[in-house]
Amino acid sequence: MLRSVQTSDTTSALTAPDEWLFNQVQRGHTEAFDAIVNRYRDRLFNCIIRLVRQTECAEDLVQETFLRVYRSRNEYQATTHFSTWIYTIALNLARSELRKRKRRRFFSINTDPDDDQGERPELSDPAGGPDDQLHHSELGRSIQRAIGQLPIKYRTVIVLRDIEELSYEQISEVLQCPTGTIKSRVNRARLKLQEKLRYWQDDRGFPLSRA
Amino acid sequence: MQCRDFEPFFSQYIDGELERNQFESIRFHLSGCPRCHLILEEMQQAVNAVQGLPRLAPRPEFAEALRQRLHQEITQDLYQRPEWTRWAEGLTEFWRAGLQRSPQIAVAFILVVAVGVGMFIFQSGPPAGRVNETLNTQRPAPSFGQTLTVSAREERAQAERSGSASRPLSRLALSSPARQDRRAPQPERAEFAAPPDSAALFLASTPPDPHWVLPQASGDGVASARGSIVDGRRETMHYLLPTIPSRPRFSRVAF
Repeated sequence: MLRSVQTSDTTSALTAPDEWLFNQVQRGHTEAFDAIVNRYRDRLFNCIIRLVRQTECAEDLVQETFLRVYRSRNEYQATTHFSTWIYTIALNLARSELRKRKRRRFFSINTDPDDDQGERPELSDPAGGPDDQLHHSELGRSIQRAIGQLPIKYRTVIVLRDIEELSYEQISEVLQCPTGTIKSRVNRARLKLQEKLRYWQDDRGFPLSRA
Repeated sequence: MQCRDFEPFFSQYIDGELERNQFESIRFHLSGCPRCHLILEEMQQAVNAVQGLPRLAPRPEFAEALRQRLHQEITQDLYQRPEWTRWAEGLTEFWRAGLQRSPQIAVAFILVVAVGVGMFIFQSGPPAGRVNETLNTQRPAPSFGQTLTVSAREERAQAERSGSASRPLSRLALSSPARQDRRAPQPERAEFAAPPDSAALFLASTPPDPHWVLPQASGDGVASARGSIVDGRRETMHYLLPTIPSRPRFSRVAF
């Protein structure tokens, strides 16, 4: 039988810190894990789909993230933020998936030589087509494509900093890099993104701020 | 300072992560440098555009599918599958992946494992040299399929003569299950059995001239030892010797 959190704890589960909730999971109160899942499911999905750009793949990675978090629950120590830990697991999975795709593209005879950094959404999911949510507007599609064309390390910091709005210190913990490295990497990533968007802006003739 | 000295700090300037003096220094530079001002403005627009992207949510059915999968995992975990099943799954997965990628490597791996296991099995017997030497020089050759009985007195005398160079049989008897629990009342008479390795060790350490009596048939390749303890001392010891000398495990015990 599954053990449940005490009634008094259930009400506080909505506002409790992540670390307290996960401590309950470590003690065997598995219902606290539902609260964590509800708290992080959409956040992780939004982060991962910006990297992998396929809905089904992103959902699989989110599921795998939660499974790994649960299986290694006893390895987590409260000295680090829970959010940092779970983002680390999710990003490792996403980057591993991207590296696999890169290898597949390298060995594939259908490789497009012009697209050396990121995959095109039209080619990435031939069965179901690109996700409709990503195409909410022409500008949004262009921004997403520009992000997707960045190298993985720049794409990751753009997603973490500008979409997930993590601090530089949190990003350095997630990616296990010095904070100074993350700062310069974010700067370079934004310059590259800005360069890619500049072409789009010149073609369309209206500023990005109208997004 | 030149423009390229300020450019690495544009991102932190936008995020408000700079120290006061650095911030003022860049702002002063921007007021007089239209090029850097344009770059910074474009970067700010790009950041705003990315931050303005709508948050994407998974499909509605994903939440239920995820809940069921996690519930399955938690239930499975609570029932605590044995550890060996995970190892078996891992090996199965490894084997499957190996077959998909390179069958030759998988077959080579299995061969290496088989050879390793075989070497471990065949080298786990008693040291060959000492057994052969002791038996060949001190013991008259019995025929296979015999049961031998040795008196405890002879064995103790041999143990005193040989010191601790070889393990006397009395220790085997004392370490038998009948003698392990010292808190239990000692029976006046108890039967015990020793494993085959103990039999081989005894054959290497007992004195010559044992009373070879009562030849009996025994199972193929099976060696066992049985004895009895009377008043805390082992009185007799019966050894059932292997009948097939070419058996690998006992081929080292050459008579």
